[in-house]
Amino acid sequence: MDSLQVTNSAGDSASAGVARPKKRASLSRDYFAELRGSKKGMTGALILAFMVLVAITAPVIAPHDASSQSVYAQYAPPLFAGGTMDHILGADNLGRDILSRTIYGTQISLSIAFIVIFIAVSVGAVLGAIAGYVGGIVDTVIMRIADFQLSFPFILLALVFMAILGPGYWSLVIALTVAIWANYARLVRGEALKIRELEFVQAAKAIGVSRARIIWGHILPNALPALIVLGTLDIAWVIITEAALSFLGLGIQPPTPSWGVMLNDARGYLYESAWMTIFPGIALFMTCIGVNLLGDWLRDTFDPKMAKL
Amino acid sequence: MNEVILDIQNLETNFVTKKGIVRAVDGVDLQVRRGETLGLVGESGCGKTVLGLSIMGLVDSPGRITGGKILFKGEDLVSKSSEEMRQLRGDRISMIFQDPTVTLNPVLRVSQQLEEVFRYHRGMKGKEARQKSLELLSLVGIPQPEERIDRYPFEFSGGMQQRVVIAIAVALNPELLLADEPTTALDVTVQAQIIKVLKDLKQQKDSAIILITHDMGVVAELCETVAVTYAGNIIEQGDLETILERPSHPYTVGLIQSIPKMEEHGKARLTAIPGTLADPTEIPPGCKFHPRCSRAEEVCKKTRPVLREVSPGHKVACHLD
Repeated sequence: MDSLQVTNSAGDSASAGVARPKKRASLSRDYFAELRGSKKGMTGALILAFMVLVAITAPVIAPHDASSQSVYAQYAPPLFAGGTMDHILGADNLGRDILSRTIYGTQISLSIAFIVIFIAVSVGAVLGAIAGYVGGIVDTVIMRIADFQLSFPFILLALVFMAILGPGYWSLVIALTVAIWANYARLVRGEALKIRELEFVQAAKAIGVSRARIIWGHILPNALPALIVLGTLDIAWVIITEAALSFLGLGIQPPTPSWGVMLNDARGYLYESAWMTIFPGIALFMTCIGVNLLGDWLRDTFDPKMAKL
Repeated sequence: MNEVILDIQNLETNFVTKKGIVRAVDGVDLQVRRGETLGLVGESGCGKTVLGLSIMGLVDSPGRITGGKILFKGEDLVSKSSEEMRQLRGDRISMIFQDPTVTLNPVLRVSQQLEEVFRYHRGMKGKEARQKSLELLSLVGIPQPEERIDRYPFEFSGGMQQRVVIAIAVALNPELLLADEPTTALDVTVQAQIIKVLKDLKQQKDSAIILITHDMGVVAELCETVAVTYAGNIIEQGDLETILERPSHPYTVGLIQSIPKMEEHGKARLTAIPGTLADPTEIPPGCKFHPRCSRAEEVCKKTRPVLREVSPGHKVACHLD
């Protein structure tokens, strides 16, 4: 019964940790508890959750069709400036409901942001991990492409894509993805260079784990916190840039209700009908603030060393 | 006597650095038999770990195996492709590392890291791999494995982590197990537990074990044979009793005299070997140990001694008798 003795002596040191009889709380639940304790993080998360909810339920909550015009409602002021319940936030130069258009604009902004970040993070992270872990010529090729990418003026790049593919939702997604994947590749490459020297990678090699599995199963999970932080903060960049490109006519095309398109439409009526500018502007501002607050909190939580930067 | 399963012949592993070529392993000959536990001892920086990594095929650039053979059951590991070596590692040859707190991946659950071995080498899935992992955890003396298996490594104490590391290493009953200072990073009471685990494993499986350590106490607990390394060479080899009781190489003598002894507490000062390990880029001619050797003679400065058998099973690389 030798092994029993071993068992007991080891059990003493660790038995305190086994007191909880039920299945232990998952890490994600721990993070959620921490999020609730942070004003900054919670505010950001609530704003973003609200925006996502608005985007999903847009067809239900929008009082009007986003592009239905009405001669009678042209330049209708919002409720608080003497308007009617029919157009709570007023109407634009073509009599389209501002509230409905802003609500549908949320769909465009958020869907583009999430799709772009998802593709850019996935592609960038995998390429960066391969570059950092494999090294040599593979590293050189991938990182020179990334450098080339980062040195290319973004507006010019967007113009090129619009010229080739024609302006529209998916061309915008492609242009934005191409514009930022290299950030993640660089980030993850740096992490991979650091992680591959750690003992557990050597230990994984020592049990015969293949290179692909080490990259996928050991390097990427360890680079994930940094990726989540950067990816979240970049959502705001994508939303603003999408609006800017759409404002310039390089992105979403009228009459699709992107916030950028709405702002462009409102340009000529800033003095007479300021509500055309104000409401999409507020929506844009709030979304980005929400994302940034959440991103800041994530950075503080995942990487306290970066908090002071 | 059991069959020889590992036969290292004149192995050389070099590192190319800016200061010159470092001969970390400089012509090592070593045999290990099935079921045998060999202690590989020597001070820090004398090439013990590099020898271990050479056997595993894990020497990273700028290091390279430049000569010799590693015959594992007759097959030369040096000439195997990296893919063949990968399939061998973890399955037939395995390794335990020094510091368990950095050997386990901090972001993966213990279960994932244990099941990895079964998945990659045996193609097991889900429940089967999990069942095997639970059995392993019990084998290395982790109580309530069902409770603990889904935890993260940071929720384990150092000793528990090392048990997990050992469990992973012995999962597939490797024929050869390398343990690189498996107790060095642990405190003394936990060391004793880990030695116990290794001892139990020795009885249950007939893997050959190479225990790399500088702790003579651990060697005395676990090993049947001992090989003493100095600056990339094996300078003395023999069974445990011979090396501990009747060492003949002056370095081994010094090494054993530098162990504190309980019965002489307070009375005798510890004897240290004078000097430090030679700069690996400027290895002295002749016997590498002669600048530190109190008994060095003229011949030691000129010719490098070779390992020769002085009595059955006892080999020494020294000009003196």
